[in-house]
Amino acid sequence: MTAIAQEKEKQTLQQWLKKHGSSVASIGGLLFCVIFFTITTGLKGESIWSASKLSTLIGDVIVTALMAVGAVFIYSLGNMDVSIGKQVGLYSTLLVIIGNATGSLLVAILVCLVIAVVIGIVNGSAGELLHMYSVISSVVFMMVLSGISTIIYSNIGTRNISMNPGIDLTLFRQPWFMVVVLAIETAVIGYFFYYTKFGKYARAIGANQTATSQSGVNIILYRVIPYIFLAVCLVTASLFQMGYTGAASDSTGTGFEMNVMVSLILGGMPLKGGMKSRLSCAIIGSLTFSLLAVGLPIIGVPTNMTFLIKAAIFLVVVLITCRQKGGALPR
Amino acid sequence: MKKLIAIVLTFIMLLGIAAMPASAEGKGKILYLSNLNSGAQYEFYVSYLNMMAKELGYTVEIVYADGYNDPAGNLKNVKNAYTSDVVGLIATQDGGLINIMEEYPDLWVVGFFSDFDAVYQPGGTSAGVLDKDHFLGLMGDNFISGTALGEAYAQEVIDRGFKKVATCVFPAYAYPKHTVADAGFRAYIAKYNETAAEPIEIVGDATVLNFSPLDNNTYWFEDGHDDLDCIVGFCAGTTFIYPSVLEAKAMGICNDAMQIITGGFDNDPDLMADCGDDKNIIRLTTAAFESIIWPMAMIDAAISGNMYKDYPGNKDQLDSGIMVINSTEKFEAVVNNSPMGATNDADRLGKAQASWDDMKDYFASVNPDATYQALTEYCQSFTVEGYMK
Repeated sequence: MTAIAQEKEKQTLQQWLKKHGSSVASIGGLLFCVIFFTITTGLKGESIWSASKLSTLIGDVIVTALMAVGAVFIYSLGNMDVSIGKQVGLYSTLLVIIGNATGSLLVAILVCLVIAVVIGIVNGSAGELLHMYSVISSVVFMMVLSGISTIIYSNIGTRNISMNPGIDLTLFRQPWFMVVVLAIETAVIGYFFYYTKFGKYARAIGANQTATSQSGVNIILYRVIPYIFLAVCLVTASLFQMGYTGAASDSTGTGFEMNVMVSLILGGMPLKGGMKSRLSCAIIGSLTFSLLAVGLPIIGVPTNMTFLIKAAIFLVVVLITCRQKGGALPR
Repeated sequence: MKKLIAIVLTFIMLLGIAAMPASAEGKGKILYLSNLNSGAQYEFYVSYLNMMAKELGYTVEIVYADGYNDPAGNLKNVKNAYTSDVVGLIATQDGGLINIMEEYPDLWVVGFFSDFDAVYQPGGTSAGVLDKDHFLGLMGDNFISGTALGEAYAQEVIDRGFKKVATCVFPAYAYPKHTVADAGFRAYIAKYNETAAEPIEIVGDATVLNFSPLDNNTYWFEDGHDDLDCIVGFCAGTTFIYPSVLEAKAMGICNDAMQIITGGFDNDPDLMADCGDDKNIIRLTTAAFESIIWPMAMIDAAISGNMYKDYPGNKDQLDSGIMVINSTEKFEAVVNNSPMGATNDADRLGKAQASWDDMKDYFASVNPDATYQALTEYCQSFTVEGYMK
């Protein structure tokens, strides 16, 4: 092989790594966790793949993954939504209250969907219409929803409410059902994200909004639609969040927006959004995050150390995957 | 460079994980679902539990409870920490307790250091645990009865000669006990006023702090608040009242001699230095630290199959030992002589009011003649005076 050919091959490899480095790091991280915990939990006489631990793992991952899959659309715009947690909290609460009042989950789901879509439309359009960062409207919603939650629980007179035993929530605790719903949601969102103009325009807006706008794309419309996808995903996540215990509280959903963000970053999502945004980031990141949460205690890592280890892994992933100097955070 | 840092970090982390000792073989693991995650009280509970567990042949694993007592959060945290050798759970939060017990029906569960409203209030979301054989009851955080707490604070106000007071509570939906305590306080003061030469004025209704500090922008400008003798905080006054009072005094917008009566414990040196007869905090009421013997003894009795013969099985909701710290000498005793002033495990255990030799005869697995009644009375007998001997 000539020196020129060798140099060309080296350049090709470098280009490939530059293009796929983030995917390699995130998938590699997940694979590493799988192998590491398979071996180390075995050494401790446990198995992370035992039926009970697998069920725990799926239960741990489901809500974050359902939210993160929807949030991929938002992050691909270069935006973020910090009202995610409070939205899930409110929808969980409404599912219980309306479910108990009507004896049916269907009415409650429909009400939540309507509210979620309205919030999504406002969140998606406010940034463009009012010429401000989209995250600001989501901060406003976070505070408003927090206030609404406080009023609801103050009026009820308790911090926790539970669904009447008459409504059977067993299905929402079944690992197979969780997997099926996650697979369906991922497939549907994946279809819209990769194979329709909704996803393509969302990524294009994240990559270069000016160029996208000058190409004749209706920016407001294609900013709003991703938020509507997120709205549906959040209601779905709320169903499983509430169904997990059959209860909701004034603190349900607290911090979920951070779980979504950490999962997406662990999965290799570019924070600036754009054409390199991938749906797989949501699944890979959520799985990695939950594997750490479930695996570390099994191998005897004290709880206070697990936070440290998760933070260190997060730092490692950011160091490996961040690509640009001065890269902006989502807004 | 950054990739090098990443690789070094990963390597160090893996070395750390690999170097962690495996848990000891024994009777199994007890999970401690802790509502604290730092501070002197937390450190003591961990040390004390580990000491008792070692003597009894268990291991203890700390699980942090959900920061907001969310049912799903607590269930998830317990499930993540659960391994095949887990045999018991000492819970300091009640959110999701019913779900935990339904998920692990063989797990023995006992409550500690909390009111467990979700279990004991009518219609509570975890009230179902009272029907489960594996739930062993609760030793709470000082007084279980809100009325008793209110009356105790009222007596302190009377004893101190305060004439103008106000009260603060957390929202009733979150802490119903506070509202009951406030009512108990007012009733006791009203009764005192019937015969008192100089009645005590309670200014206005209780101020509801929505988990945020007392608002200096409004509170002191409300009618009668600028010259209060005392604020009675049924909420966590060291966190939510004390800093505001300090600020208000510095700004000169409240009575400079005003003092605080409240609950909880905080080992911040600056705060503790401001507790005493002539200081800003005149009284703290908290659970006796050594009361944690009770949940450990109960769970050991259940796991080992040596349940106390006189255990009524009615899942009692019990007062803990109650520490009433209301004088300079008592505050000094807590800081200097109790585990709250210790800096290492040996010191913590050395300063506790009960060593293993003192307590072991109350454990049914050690002493077959031990009784539930004696255990309960023993755990309720710890007071601040115990550190003053």
